[in-house]
Amino acid sequence: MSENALVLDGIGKRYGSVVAVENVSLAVRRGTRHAVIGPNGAGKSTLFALMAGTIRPSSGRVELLGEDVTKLSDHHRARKGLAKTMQRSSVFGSMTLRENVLLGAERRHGRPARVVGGHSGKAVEAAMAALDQVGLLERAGAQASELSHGERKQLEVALALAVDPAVLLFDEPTAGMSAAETDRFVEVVQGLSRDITVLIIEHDLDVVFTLADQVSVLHLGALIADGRPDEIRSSELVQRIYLGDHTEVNGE
Amino acid sequence: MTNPLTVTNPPTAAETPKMTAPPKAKKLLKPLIVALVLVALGLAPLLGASVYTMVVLTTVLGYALLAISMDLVAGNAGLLTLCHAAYAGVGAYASLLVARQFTQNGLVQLVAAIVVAAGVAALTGWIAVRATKTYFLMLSLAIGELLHILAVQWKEVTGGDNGLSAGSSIELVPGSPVVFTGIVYWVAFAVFLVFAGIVLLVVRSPFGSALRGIRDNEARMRGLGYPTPLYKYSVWILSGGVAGAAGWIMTVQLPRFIAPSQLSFHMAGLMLLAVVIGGLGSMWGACIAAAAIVIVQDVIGQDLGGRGPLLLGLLFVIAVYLLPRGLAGIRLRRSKEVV
Amino acid sequence: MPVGSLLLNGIASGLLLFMMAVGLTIVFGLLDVLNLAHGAFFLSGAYLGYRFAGEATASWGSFTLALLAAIVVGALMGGALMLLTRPLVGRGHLDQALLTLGLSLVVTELLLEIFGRNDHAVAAPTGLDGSVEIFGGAYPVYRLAVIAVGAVVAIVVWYALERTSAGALIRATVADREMVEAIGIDVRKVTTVTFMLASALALVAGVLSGPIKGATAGLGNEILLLALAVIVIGGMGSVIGTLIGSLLIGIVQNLGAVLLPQFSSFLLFGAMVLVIVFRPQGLFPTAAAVER
Repeated sequence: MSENALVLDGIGKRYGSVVAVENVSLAVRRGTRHAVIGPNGAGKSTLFALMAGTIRPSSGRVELLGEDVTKLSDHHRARKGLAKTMQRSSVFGSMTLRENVLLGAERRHGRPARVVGGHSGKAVEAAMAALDQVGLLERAGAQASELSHGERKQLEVALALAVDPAVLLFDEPTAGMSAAETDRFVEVVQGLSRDITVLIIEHDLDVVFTLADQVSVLHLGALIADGRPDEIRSSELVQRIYLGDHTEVNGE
Repeated sequence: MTNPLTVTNPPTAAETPKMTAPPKAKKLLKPLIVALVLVALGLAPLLGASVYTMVVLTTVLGYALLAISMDLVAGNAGLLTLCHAAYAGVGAYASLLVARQFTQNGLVQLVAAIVVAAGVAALTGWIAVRATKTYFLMLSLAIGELLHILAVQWKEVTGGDNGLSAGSSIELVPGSPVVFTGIVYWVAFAVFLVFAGIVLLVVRSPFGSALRGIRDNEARMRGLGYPTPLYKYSVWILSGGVAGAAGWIMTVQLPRFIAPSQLSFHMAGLMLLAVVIGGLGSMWGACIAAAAIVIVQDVIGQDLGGRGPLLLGLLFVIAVYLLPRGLAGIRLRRSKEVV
Repeated sequence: MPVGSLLLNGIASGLLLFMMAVGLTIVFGLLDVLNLAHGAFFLSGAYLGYRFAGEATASWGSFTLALLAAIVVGALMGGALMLLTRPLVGRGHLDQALLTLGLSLVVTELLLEIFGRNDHAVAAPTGLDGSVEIFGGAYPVYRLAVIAVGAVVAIVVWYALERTSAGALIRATVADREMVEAIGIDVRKVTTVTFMLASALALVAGVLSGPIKGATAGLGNEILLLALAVIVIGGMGSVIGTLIGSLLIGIVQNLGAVLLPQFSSFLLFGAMVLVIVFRPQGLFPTAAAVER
């Protein structure tokens, strides 16, 4: 049983002559909350896609729970225990919250390809529990398109929880959120069991320093720092990258 | 059920969110109408319907089942198809060829229609399900056209532009061809009910939910661990088989005739328009639209001096604007959430 | 028939096909919408030719009138189509494509209503209705004229798009619509004008094709399908691709009709399928398409 939930080993991605990500190696220990920060254009989105499996690396390896998943597609990795939320709010607008979360719950706890009958009891239970955990249980019957931006992000978390993930990836989850919504989001993440390893790509440094056990800093596609939050916060190099103090970048 | 993360005061009845269940009466209305129509259709032969009416109704059932097969992939999986009319045509050709070469047994012909159509769908569908929206439409158009050309060019088998016909009626019992149009109609109706029923079950199953998830947001479904190409491919093959059954129904009544024009782009476009306007995701709507096509073209068409297609075209154009459901209904909801 | 004649036939149909398809591909590049009514436009042109030029003999005057009418009517039809699709812009590209499908049906049926369902021939203008000796046989002068006119049109289109600022504007809008809007240019005007020109071109092509293919009920769909195959194989939004694709397909169709009668159409759509699967950007993609 490897002690790392997710390992990137020399990961690189280039598009023709453009290098998006260069030789990034980092290890996310099981149960930790690991944040990846960096200014715009640092390659964070590309890195996220490389971890999730939506794009293939030009070089390097990706290891999930001790297994080499470099060649596996995104849905394969998802079945191996990787869940993610997307930066642009991505839920199933035409369905109710309950139906949304059931899609994930059924895949994990039931038989999603069943051609007759209804949803399995276990899946429904898991779905409702996930909604409850993010505080959306009363809205289970509402249509996803009616949710506010913050609520949609909460739904995304519920979707991720419904598949009972081992590793949960967040892509700029608090983008566009109000202060209250951000606080609620932080509460939800803090409430997650340590069985789940969390990796957050985040812009809001307050959120990062509240939640993270470990912080990696990306700049122009390369990893320039990797350590505990206090180390990162006091690092001159990092401060220079962000042009002085972190309040400038806070809240965009 | 309290949770430290939720609001401390649970919402009162007055504050309960917008989703209210429709009143019981309204909920029952649609199934009631559907049931009435089905009963009326079932009793038609006994209610004194003429041979002509029986034949027309059989044709309607055939087109309705084709529309259902298209709605299965278009409305549920988001795969707008221009080749299912051709799949139905393939099924019809298969069943008539079996009638000419092997046996008049209606059931064997039906199975042949389904298997051949599903097989063609399997062959052509694998590439289809991996293409993106506009390209998929073009690809399905090309596939349909390829099958159309095959029907025209492979003269030795299909009879080319002259079409193909099976001389005599189907047999349910070996050796005795069915004499009454009404009985053939009932058999067709039974086949319709079976396959429409299958589609209904699939649509309401977890598999059906997964398809709609793929339609709404394929990337998300992959993120949740669904092997989406496989899901799309499976439903494609299933719908191909159902289209094959539709083709059998379309040609089961005498004179049991099929021509390549059934596989043309014109037919494919007409059917797709019908399904979209009937409302994607609504089996009932698809049936009504298909029935409208048959009635306007073949029935009223004579009275309108052959202007049926014009009327149909105008109806479609108007409907695309007026009807809020159809592609628009689903798409508008989807586009809302993209920031 | 000698191969040389078949080749000439192929070039003639290829150039007519180009006139049809270039409008289709540019409109797709501009709006991301497949104008499935384009075939009906071509058909309208053919019927216009029949109406003015007649079936037996045609004077230069009447034929020219047909061409002029084609330009005017074409521009009007293009403008009308733009107006009709405007309300659906928010509803996505496939809705608009389906609308054009419905309109195609309406236009085709109206034409058949007005002109009857029988096939009609269209006369070539006098002076062009004879034949010359080429390749050891008689070859219709009219087709040579079509090749000449078609070549001129192709050059003019190329020049307009590649060498004029208006053309540059169109190409820019195809490549990056938002950027052009950001500069402050009214993209809607650009697309409307282009649409009108494309439609006019389709009708002109229809008139020109009259003496070769006549005016028949299935012509609209037939030419639409060929044009779709052309733009897919050539590359959506690519003018060069459309030109090469059209010539290629024109030649293959004509040679194939004689040499491999059962297979030529099959090959065409089979090629279309292969291109979509293995090289969706087409054989001669535009730079923008490679990104898509």
